[in-house]
Amino acid sequence: MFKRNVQSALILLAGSLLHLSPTPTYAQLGPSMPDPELIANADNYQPPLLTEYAEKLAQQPDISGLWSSILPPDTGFTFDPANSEFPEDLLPGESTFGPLPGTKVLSIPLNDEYQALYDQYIEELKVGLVRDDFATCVPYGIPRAIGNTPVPFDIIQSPEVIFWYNDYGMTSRRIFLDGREHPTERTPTGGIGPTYSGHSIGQWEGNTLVVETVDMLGDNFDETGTPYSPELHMVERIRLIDTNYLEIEFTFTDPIAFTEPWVVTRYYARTAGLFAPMPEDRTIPRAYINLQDRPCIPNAVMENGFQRTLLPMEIEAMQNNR
Amino acid sequence: MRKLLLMIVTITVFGSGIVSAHHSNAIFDLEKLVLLRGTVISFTNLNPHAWISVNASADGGSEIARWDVESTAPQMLAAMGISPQTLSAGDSVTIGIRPMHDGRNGGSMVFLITPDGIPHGADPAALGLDLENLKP
Repeated sequence: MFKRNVQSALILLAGSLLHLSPTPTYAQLGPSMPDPELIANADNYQPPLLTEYAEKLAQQPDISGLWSSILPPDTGFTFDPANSEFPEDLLPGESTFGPLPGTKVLSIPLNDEYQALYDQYIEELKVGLVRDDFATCVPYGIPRAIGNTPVPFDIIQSPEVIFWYNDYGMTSRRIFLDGREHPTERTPTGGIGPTYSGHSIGQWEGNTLVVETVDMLGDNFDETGTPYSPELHMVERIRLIDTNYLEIEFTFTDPIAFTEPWVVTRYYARTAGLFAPMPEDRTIPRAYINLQDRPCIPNAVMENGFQRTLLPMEIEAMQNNR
Repeated sequence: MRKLLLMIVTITVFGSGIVSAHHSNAIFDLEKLVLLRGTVISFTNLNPHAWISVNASADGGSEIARWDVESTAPQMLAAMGISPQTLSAGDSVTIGIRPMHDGRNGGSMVFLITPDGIPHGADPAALGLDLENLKP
């Protein structure tokens, strides 16, 4: 009992000493607290309305909402499905998800060095060697989260920033419309990347949103391993072609990996919630994704650079050992 | 057919429940077929991949072991007539799988024959198998 009393006294003493010591430096980094008078009178404060914001927003075509990528007939999941080679069909009804081994993007203008890499990745996939680390919950990143995603993404508009979320791909991006340039140097608060989202600036040219993105951290466009270098540069021309169809024309340049620009045009259908309605349905309400099933739970580990999928029995054993 | 399946996956793959990450299907040997006969341990009907765990013998062998069978997304399973109520622990089933390249006790579902003898997924006849001999 005596010991405990001494302990309590020491804790009290330490506490009072902390009060007397100079303010820790971290407290000086952020903004200072509002004046107590402001807080006391907050009930009487009339906040400004978003009138100006709404007027500016009303000038933008409405691309907000939930969008699903569309695959052309007889294709599968690649960044450019219209110009890819797909292996023989599985049996009707056989389970599959994602591109089958042997799937290859034909249109990407890789130079010899990067083509050799891509060919190697495709051969590896045929024998079950998977370099893709998405199953370990590494983000898709931009551009993969736009061009090669099996789940819809959200677009949320504001006058000066467009927010773009692909929660399944663990990737979010901001497209700045405020006239800023790409950062040119590293600063304590960020600056030049690379990041999974890259840095995007954009502007409306008539009804088309033109977005330029640099500093992307990922290294492939899709699950087939289509490679790019850190010098990848992306321009998107985004427009509605109908209430329920979005078109994105991507132009990629990459001085290290490509021999010429790569242009890919993809289409997206407006989606409303869990089950996507037919795009012909003109009554689709604006919808945003249901976040109930986030975040990602890894079901693979990377071993020597390759994916090792964990079977449920292995995940259960790991959980029992925790 | 793949076209149809992929279109369905594209637009309906997300849903409720815990999502574990999507991994490549390159881990499965699509040239091989293994026949599992046994009883259901659990059916985890979640996106992006549902799993059926069974205590089963493989290709008529005498050893009974646990196998984890991956199938596709719940909405695609629904299209095959498989709902969360279709399977319960202890049910006798026969499952055709594409086994893992690395030899672990896992695979990708080709067809499932439920206790009522009804096949789901691919048609066993397309693999030269007689449904009568496959019923659990």
